Amino acid sequence: MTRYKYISYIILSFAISIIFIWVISYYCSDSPVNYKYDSSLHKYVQQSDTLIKYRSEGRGNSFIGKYGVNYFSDISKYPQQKVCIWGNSYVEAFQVNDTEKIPQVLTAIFAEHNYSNLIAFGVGIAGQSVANQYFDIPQYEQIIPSITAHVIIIPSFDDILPKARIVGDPRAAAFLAEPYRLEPTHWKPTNQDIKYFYNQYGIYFLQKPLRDMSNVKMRFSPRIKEKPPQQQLPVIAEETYKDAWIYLLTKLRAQTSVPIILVYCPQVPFIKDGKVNLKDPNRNFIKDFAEIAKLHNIIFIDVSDRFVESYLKNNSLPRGFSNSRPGSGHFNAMGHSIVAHAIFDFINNKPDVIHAN
Amino acid sequence: MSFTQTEFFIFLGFIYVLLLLFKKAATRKIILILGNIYFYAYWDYRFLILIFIPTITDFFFAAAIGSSTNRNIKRIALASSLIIDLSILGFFKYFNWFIASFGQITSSVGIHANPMKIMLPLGISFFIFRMISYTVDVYKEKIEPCRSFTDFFLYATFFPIIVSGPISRAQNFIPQLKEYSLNTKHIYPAFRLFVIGLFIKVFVADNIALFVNYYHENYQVFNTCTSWLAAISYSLQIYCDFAGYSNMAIGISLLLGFKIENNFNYPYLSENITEFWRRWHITLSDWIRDYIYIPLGGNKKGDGRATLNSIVAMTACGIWHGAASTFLFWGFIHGLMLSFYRYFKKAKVLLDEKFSLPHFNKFMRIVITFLCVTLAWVFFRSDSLSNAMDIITNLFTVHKGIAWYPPFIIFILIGSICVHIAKAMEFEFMDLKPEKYYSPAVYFTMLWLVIVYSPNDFQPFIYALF
Repeated sequence: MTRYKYISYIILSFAISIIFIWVISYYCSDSPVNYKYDSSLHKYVQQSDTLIKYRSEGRGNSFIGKYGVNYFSDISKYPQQKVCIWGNSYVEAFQVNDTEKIPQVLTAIFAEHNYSNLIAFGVGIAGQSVANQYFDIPQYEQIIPSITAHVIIIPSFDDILPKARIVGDPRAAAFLAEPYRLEPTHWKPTNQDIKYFYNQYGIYFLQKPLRDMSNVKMRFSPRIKEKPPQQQLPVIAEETYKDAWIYLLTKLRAQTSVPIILVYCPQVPFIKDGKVNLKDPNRNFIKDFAEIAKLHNIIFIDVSDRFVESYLKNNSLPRGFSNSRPGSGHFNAMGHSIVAHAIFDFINNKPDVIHAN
Repeated sequence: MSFTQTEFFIFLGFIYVLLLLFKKAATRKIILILGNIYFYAYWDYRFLILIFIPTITDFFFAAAIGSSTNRNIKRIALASSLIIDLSILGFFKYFNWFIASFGQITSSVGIHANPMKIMLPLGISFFIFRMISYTVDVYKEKIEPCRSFTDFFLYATFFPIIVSGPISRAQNFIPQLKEYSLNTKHIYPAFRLFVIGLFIKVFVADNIALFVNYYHENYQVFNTCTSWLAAISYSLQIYCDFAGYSNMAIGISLLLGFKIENNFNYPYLSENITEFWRRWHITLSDWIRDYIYIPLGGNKKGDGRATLNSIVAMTACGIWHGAASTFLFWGFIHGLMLSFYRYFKKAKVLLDEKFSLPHFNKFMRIVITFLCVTLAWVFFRSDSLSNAMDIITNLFTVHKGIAWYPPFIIFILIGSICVHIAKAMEFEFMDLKPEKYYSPAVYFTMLWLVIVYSPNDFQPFIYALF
């Protein structure tokens, strides 16, 4: 083989391998999420008219409409009364298909039970918290008419605790202590052009290597091997919880006149040390939180018992997927269904609260 | 420094460029020695002394054995060498285990023994076994003692094999140093070996590890089918992890101009447990045979003694893997299985080729051998013997619990079965020979799969911990 032929042959082989990985990753990798600035909301939301494929945890296809609202191309054009489901990645829920997400399951249950004038839609961005919803609720009420209730999904106890300092996701607005205050996020997504390019051509396979390359931290010097020190997270004194919650819920209640429903979905049942744990370790705190919510005319629903009952009945957990760890991570279809039914049962028992008919 | 680290690729590239730049064999050997020292020091430079001491002492003891005609001097030199080697291995690997076991016994009478803070040096078991084989081979006059300290130092500390083998013998390695040269024609076959190794380590073994590790942390909550899936997956994980490492080590060695012994030959195609040990971790099983089993008498002193020798040799093999009762028991089980097989073979109660379905019989023998090995791996992987017994109980009783069947694991298992069937049927494609037209495209695809689907959490090589 001549040198020219040899090089051509290697290039051809490389090209074939690229086509192969392109096809494989198109079906088996996550598609990047594009964000675009929405001038009416004054914030970045997922780009409308895009389809998000998620494969690394669960397997779901999610259509994104206007205002970062999932499933509906333009929710503001629907005449029905609307229940707005708020949350973070648990409402974004890329892990499951659109029809399995809380809002769509809830809408389907409404239709089944003759609440024909009621639909639900979801607003969620991964990493956000109740503090974000505090800022977002008035904005969405201005744009989307006939919102009849706000349902906020709280998947973790941490989401309602003040942070001693701003940590974690830049997408999250901050609920800060000393003094208590809520600060909006000024998050601006990066690398949107390249993500748009990936999405345009389905080149999902380039995401990970480029991300990995940008995160590489190299060390060339010899060393002494030692165990890395464990990171200490800031601790908030338990006695300050109540004050913090009073502040948070007072502020939240003042943002809207329509009913607010907080749905607490703790990580039970969860697997730890070879046992399926059925008790929420924060249960006692949550009782206090529920009482404070009631005092502020905010409805509180705790889904723990439903999660546990479902596990005891079906031997399956509301979180986790076959391609991720069972009992941890995001809600699977069953988890979404349980939460949707919990919301519906409340509305069905007290339809006057949200004027549903 | 791990073979999958970015730093390693830069280091290897640097060494290779230096070797190309300097043509003199002596200079190249110095470059390799400096590379070896850096490679080991990168992990923890304090432990360099541990590889220097046996290297220096074994070189001189072997020289004394080779040059002396006095039998007693030879014996003293050999014994001294073994004492130093085994003391290092014993102290760093087994001292705390011994103290803890001793403490359990003596605590009832009020004597408490506290373990010391001892860190296990990287690849110490592999290194010491190579050192022992060298002095013993010189003593048995299988090889001449190495006359050049540079050559011996290069052999002892050769970085591609120091962490996890293969346990390359001096009789294979040192002669290659006499006419050491670098051949650029080796780049492509070395790349082939490295990529195949990287693929089965990172894409296959590391992804399986995510499932198996979580299963073993919480095995009590899973049902029987999940337990079987985890047990079989671990068989595949440890094979792909170690065979992947060995392939990479052999590939890197080849790139640097050295041919290292093969370590694996489709062990799960073995039709019996004896054959399994001829195909699994070949350099270790050869070592155990040559330096433990045969010196104990092998099978030359009757059936009873052969059984005892097998059990002792395999238990030692188990202990070599780590200071834990699980490894000891794993080795003991293999010793028992080897003995049972010898008995069955003699008693002619095995499925025979004379039966009308030879292919079916062969298939059944492979399946039975694989299941025996898989059940033994449960002990190897478990944190304690009681955990292992619980898992074995889960496997053989109907245990209700959470069902977890990751699609990737199912896909990999089906893929592995297909690969093994194709290999058993001698399909040429399975060898991915460098000269085949499709091979480069397959290698590049493997690389892409590694790059795109490697887990985010780095999984250390299992055998680097031994």
